[in-house]
Amino acid sequence: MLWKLNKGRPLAEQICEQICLRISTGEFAPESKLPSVRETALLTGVNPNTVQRAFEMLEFKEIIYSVQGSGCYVSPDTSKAKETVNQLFYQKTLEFFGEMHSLGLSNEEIKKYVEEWKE
Amino acid sequence: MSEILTCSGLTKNYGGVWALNNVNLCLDSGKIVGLLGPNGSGKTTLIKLINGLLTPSFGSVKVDGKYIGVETKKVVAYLPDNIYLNSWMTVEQIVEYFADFYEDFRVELAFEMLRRLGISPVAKLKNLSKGNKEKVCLILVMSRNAKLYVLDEPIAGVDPAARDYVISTIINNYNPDATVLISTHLIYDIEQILDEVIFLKQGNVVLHQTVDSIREEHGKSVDELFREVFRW
Amino acid sequence: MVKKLFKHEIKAYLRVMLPVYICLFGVALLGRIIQFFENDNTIYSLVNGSSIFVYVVAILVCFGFSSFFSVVRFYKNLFTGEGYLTFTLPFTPTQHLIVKLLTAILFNFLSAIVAFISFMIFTFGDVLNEVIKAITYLFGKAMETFAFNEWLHTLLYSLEFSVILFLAASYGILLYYVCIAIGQISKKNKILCAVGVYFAYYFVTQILGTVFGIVLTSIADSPLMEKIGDFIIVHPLASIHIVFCAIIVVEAVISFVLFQITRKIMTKKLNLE
Repeated sequence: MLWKLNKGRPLAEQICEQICLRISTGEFAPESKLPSVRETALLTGVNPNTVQRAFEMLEFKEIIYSVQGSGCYVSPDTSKAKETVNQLFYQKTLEFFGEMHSLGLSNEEIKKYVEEWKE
Repeated sequence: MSEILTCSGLTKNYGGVWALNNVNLCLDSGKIVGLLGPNGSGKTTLIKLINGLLTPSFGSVKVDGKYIGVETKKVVAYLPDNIYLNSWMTVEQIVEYFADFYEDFRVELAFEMLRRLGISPVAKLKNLSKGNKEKVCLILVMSRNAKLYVLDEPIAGVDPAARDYVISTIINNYNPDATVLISTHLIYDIEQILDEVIFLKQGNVVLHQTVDSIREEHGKSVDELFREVFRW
Repeated sequence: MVKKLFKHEIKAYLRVMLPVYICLFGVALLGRIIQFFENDNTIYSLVNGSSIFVYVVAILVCFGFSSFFSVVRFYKNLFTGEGYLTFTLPFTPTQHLIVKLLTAILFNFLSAIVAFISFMIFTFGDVLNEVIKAITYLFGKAMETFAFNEWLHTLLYSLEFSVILFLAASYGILLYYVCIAIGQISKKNKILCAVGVYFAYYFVTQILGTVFGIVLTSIADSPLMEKIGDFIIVHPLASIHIVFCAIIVVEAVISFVLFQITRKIMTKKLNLE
């Protein structure tokens, strides 16, 4: 999975979301070790301080935990990560509907387009 | 966290032109800072003042609490915006030159970085391609264990692959005790590695803010904000 | 640390001057070998004549080159792109100036020594013996005339003369340096400006020299000059010391002024593109 970041929003938040996404898909399994701050920074091309902040946010939410001198690990309980991802999906859907509404489409019409697109 | 760069009332007048006008600026260590502004906004003047290549007309610059001089030159690693190396030297000789004069120079790191790029130590600098010359310059600067790195337009005029190389080299050598000051007008390519930005406009600091607070406050990227601030 | 600055400065000079010195020795040796085939044949005199010509040219090139290179080195290493590196090394501009000046003087004298050795090679044998004889004769004559046999005077003269030589060399080099330093302040045509400053200086010193000469001749008959003349006749040895010391003072003052101007410009008026 590519690390897709939008420069218009705080990057630390987006890195949190991306890591939660990877945890919920199982790419980062529970109890597995996360890449280090420097590795993540190099992978994403983002400032190490920003990555550090993202990790701290994740640790605060108990999505990951850190082991002194070893690194960060995914928490055994992935429910919080999934919750964050759900929030993200919900947010994105809202954004999508908001945009469609601004183009003048009603909910019914949007549904119609979604149905058509599925086929 | 300590203050690595302090400018107070810094003013530079070049034959009647105010290249810098009463600049007050503090940078903490451990940050990657973007110095942004269009051409002629005073970026290079500020950088030359930090490196002692110019002297202030008024006000002062301090690095690590000291006025510019021999002691500050020991802790500032500077990448000018042009290729400045003796072209008759070999890569090995220029490495030796840096190692002789800078106590903080890490020779093994320099050779390791050169090896990874496949640049031969016995190659003459004048025989290297322009892109490789620029990379050698960057390697020499980043091989120092300095307190303040000053990179003047490190990504201007290089291709996208070389741009990625510059960015990953900066990240790879990130040190929480050092600050990196990067001047550029190509903000889009570099903004994701910045902690803070300074906008310079006609010799004045018009904005000095953390990048995340810009994104939060304005809901836009630094690049977009820059275009707004510097609209014609 | 300044030692390392010297080391790299000397390296830069050697890179250029060593081949020149080797060439000079080569030409001298070749010329000497040609002389072994001496006979009345026109081909020989033609070859020998041209070898002498080539040798003289090589000596001139050797001297010219050491001055020329010290000028080029000063300009390129400090005021072009290389200046970005040179001036951000942990040294003061004054240290850079002193190292550049002393190295330039060193190589000026080294060129003289090399030229002398090459001359010994070129004339080795009967000719060299004749030359040495002539020199020793002249030296002995000078000893008699100037009381060189009094060791104190001899010591002082040679000391004073060495100082004069050293100061003359530094004056010559500093004059170039100051012109380059002033020239680089200009936005464009830095080299042209430096040449302009040099000729302006030359012109001014010529005028001053002429004025001084006129003044001196106009007061030649005055009682003061008579007194000076008497003094020289009564104390010839002391007079030479006084003249030497006067030259030293004048050279030292001018060199000091040129040094200070160059140093000030390097510190405050650096104008790298």
